[in-house]
Amino acid sequence: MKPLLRSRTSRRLALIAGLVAFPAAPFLWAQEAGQGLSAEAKSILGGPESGSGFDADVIAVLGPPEGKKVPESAVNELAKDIDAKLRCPVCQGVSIADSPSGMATKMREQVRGLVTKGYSEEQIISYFERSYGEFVRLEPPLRGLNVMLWILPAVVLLGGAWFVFRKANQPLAAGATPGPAPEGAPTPKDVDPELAKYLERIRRDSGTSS
Amino acid sequence: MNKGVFAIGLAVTVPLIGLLLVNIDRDPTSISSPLINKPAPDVRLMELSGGASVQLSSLRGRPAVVNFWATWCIPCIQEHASLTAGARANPDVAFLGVVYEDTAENARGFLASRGSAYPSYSDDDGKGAIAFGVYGVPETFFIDAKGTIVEKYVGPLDGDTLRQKLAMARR
Repeated sequence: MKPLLRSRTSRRLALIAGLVAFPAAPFLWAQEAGQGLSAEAKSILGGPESGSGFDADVIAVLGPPEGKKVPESAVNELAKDIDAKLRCPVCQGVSIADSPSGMATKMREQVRGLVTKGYSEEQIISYFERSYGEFVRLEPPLRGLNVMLWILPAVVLLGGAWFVFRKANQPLAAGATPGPAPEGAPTPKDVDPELAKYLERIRRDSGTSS
Repeated sequence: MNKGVFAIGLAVTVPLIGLLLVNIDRDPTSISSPLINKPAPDVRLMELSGGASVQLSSLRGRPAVVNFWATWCIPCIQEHASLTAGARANPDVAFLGVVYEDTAENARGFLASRGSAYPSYSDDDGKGAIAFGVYGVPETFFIDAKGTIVEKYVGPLDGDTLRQKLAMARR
């Protein structure tokens, strides 16, 4: 018996490990491929400051920065706040702040760059929204059909509570009598006389007393 | 059973089942690009071989095909021959490869061994992929001569699909 149990447990563990590893594998692979650019490639491409010219695109989409100029010390804090609101496009329901993927890392860098340039949070989010759609907002904005996401659960909960409350307080209909004891229920003569009084009490309280 | 309760049950379940039936064929991972019928992002990309860079808006005046790819991506390897043949057969169309989450070195090695008919660019900081809203590779964008994205294709392109999408970009 024991070895069987052990092997079943280990098989289950292996299955779980396999299921976890399988979806993660391509991701880990991609991670590895994206890292470790050669120094030579980096010198050709230039550092992040020289930027491969996203400015023309950012200006075309957003226009000039509308936010306040952020002091150097506050950039990280503000960028982190924005990261937490942007969905990582290559992950499952995770913000770019919480994802170690290459794509999320690059998005974080870009957020930081835009914050440094003085773009406001709303501008930065809308820049990503231009390419990825509303999907990129981790929290869907409260407008249009999305409003239902907020209202429906509350409506269902309140409706359920109302239904239960009403049912619980419903008086028995006029003329209705509590039903007879169910078939096969112990009768007083089957019961240990010591316990009979308790059974009688239970029946009385539950309204099935004969 | 109470008729009212039954009616409420129907009112809740029927629309849910309807919603399920309507969407049963939909791929939950495919999200249509908000960039369709919008101007292509005006990104600047560095050529893999070094030096030269291209500002995407400078390509206006002729249709363009922007293909995001990587050497670790098997479907990208599959479609490479179709894209190369497509670029050779359509010299009026600007074909561009953009390397996604991969090193310039890997990409150069890949193109050297498998041949290329159009330039590929690196996107080291990911700004190109982000601007195009790329989720993974391969993704191919078809841009018309006015610089408007007319179509986005996810997955490996074959010759026929490529011809069909090119016709859309030429319109």
